[in-house]
Amino acid sequence: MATLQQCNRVNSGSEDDPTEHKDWERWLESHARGLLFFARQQTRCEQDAQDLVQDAVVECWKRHSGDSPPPLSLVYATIRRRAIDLARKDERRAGREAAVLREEQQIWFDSGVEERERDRLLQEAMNNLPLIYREVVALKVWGGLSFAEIAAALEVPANTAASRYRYGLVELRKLTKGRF
Amino acid sequence: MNDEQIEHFEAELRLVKLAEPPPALLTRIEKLRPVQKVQYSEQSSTHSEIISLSLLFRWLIPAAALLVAGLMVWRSGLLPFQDVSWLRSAAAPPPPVKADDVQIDQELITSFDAVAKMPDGEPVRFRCRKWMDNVVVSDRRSGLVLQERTPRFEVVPVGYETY
Repeated sequence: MATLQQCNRVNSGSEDDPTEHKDWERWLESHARGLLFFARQQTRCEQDAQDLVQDAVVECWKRHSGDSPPPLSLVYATIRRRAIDLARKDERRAGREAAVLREEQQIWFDSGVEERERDRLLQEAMNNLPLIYREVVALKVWGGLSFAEIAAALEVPANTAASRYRYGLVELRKLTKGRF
Repeated sequence: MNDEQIEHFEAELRLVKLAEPPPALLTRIEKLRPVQKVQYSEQSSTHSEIISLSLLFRWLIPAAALLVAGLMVWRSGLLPFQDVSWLRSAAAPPPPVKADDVQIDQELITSFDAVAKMPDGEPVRFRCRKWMDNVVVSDRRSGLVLQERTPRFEVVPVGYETY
């Protein structure tokens, strides 16, 4: 009986330490956008991206099991690993999802009216950038990670991450046709 | 692209803000948030009681054992004239077995010959025998009989010249 009550408490999250709750909320608010953006680079479908973020955040938080939030690079690495697993598992769904994605056209950037066209171009350019460059650019520019953290998240040497970033920026600028 | 252009492009990219994640996603994650710290604090009273009890037992048991041992040494060493026969009787080992009859016997179970060839082609004959060794030790006073039966295999090479 005690175990059952304990489980309920864990899942409901109703009785809560306010300090930890605020830490969690703050952490989630700060990083959810970057995490979702990165997950979108790794998947073909918006729903998969959201599921990846949810699973990775909860898994890392549980695994970290400390008072402080888990390291960002760990969460990004988990998203990437789960995305690879998902891609292997759902290879057959690829074509169908790509078609769905084209129809859905998720908005990645928070654009005002003036920047809407530029941001649409940037999103398209990011979509056309090879994944190895896209993920480094996403982590560095919008994730705010250092090259050491990117290296840990992507499981590559830091020098590789840096060179991919530079090459990715050059390619991205070409793809955005000088709008920046 | 030179470094300056790259830096400029990077700065412009940083100005592009990411879209807010869907509120439904944040709600989903929020619901799944683990609350380990809360569990700890809620159970802290029971948990601390268990810890203090375990700490107590960790020291209490060796301390009690030491105290008993100390008392026994004190009784047997410092007070030699007191009656400590209860201690001796408790600690005394059982009396040894005094055998008044020992029988050693061996019984032949099987016997056969086997012929093998050496690498140079010379035949060698082996005489193989299986024995059963039987040892019986009895102590009639205490009504004790110990019997041990052990099989034994014996292989003896036999030269042809012995035939």
